[in-house]
Amino acid sequence: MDAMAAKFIGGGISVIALFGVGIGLGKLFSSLIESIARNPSAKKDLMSTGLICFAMVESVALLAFIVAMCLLFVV
Amino acid sequence: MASFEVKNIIPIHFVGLDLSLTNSSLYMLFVVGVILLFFFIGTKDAGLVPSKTQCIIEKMFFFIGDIVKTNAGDNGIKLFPYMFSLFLFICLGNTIGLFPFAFSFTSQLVVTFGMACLVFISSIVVGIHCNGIRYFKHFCPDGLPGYIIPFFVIVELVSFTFRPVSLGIRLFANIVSGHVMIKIIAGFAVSFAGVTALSGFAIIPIAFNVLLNVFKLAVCVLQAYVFVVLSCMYLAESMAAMHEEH
Repeated sequence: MDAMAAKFIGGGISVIALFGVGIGLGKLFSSLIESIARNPSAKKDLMSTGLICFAMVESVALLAFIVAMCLLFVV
Repeated sequence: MASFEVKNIIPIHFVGLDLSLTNSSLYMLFVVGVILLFFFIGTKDAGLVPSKTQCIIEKMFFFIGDIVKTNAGDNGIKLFPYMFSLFLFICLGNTIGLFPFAFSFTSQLVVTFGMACLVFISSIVVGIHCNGIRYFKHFCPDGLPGYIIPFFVIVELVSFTFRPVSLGIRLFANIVSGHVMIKIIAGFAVSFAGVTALSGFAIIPIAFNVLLNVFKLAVCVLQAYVFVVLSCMYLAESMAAMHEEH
């Protein structure tokens, strides 16, 4: 296997992290919607906490993206 | 990619340091200028009945004030000026990259990491200022069994030093990935338009790009918000690190 092919395969493998991120985002937003539906008056507080958690989970996906980009273009 | 290239505009070399004015620093100056101008106009004849610009400024003021108050308590209102300027700087720096041919300086890792390090260092300084040497007990609380202390200290130290890294990389990666995504989708449009039989389909990536731009605008503001909330939490934590033990 030449180095070019290994690079592409590595880039593909590195975005497997999106599997976990998808599960995490789904869980996060499902519970966010559920709790807002249960208690609509707490929406403001819940939204800000939810958005922070969203950014936290999202950053994992972006790390995977950076690894993929590094593999494809930098290494 | 062209939109991430830092170009030298005015080369300045000073005692072995490269202090050249690049397009990155030019955009930073521009953003600071825009903020100053906006606030100057908005508060020039500030009155009890606010003008339209003053309304916007008051809204932003209370928005950040709320963040600081909920995360750092009433004592944390000292952090407000820092957080307010940080938010405006990051928010405008992110959104300016959405304009065609503009350069978004938060897509440079050195900028975001620099800001994150500033928060990190100031959290240490604030912690030592507020709690003295007891601030470092935060890494090794009382009442731990002896054998667990080394592990605890190491884990705490690692998670503590990883803070600026995650803070900086989060902002950087969000901005860069947004730009790259827009560029890739635009590339689809170009390659569709190149083939005569499929040129009509080029409208699909373009429409998607419009949606993506709206999403990016939301992400830009959200990332500035997250950055400010997290740095507020870190600073508030070091301010109150040992308050329970008084």
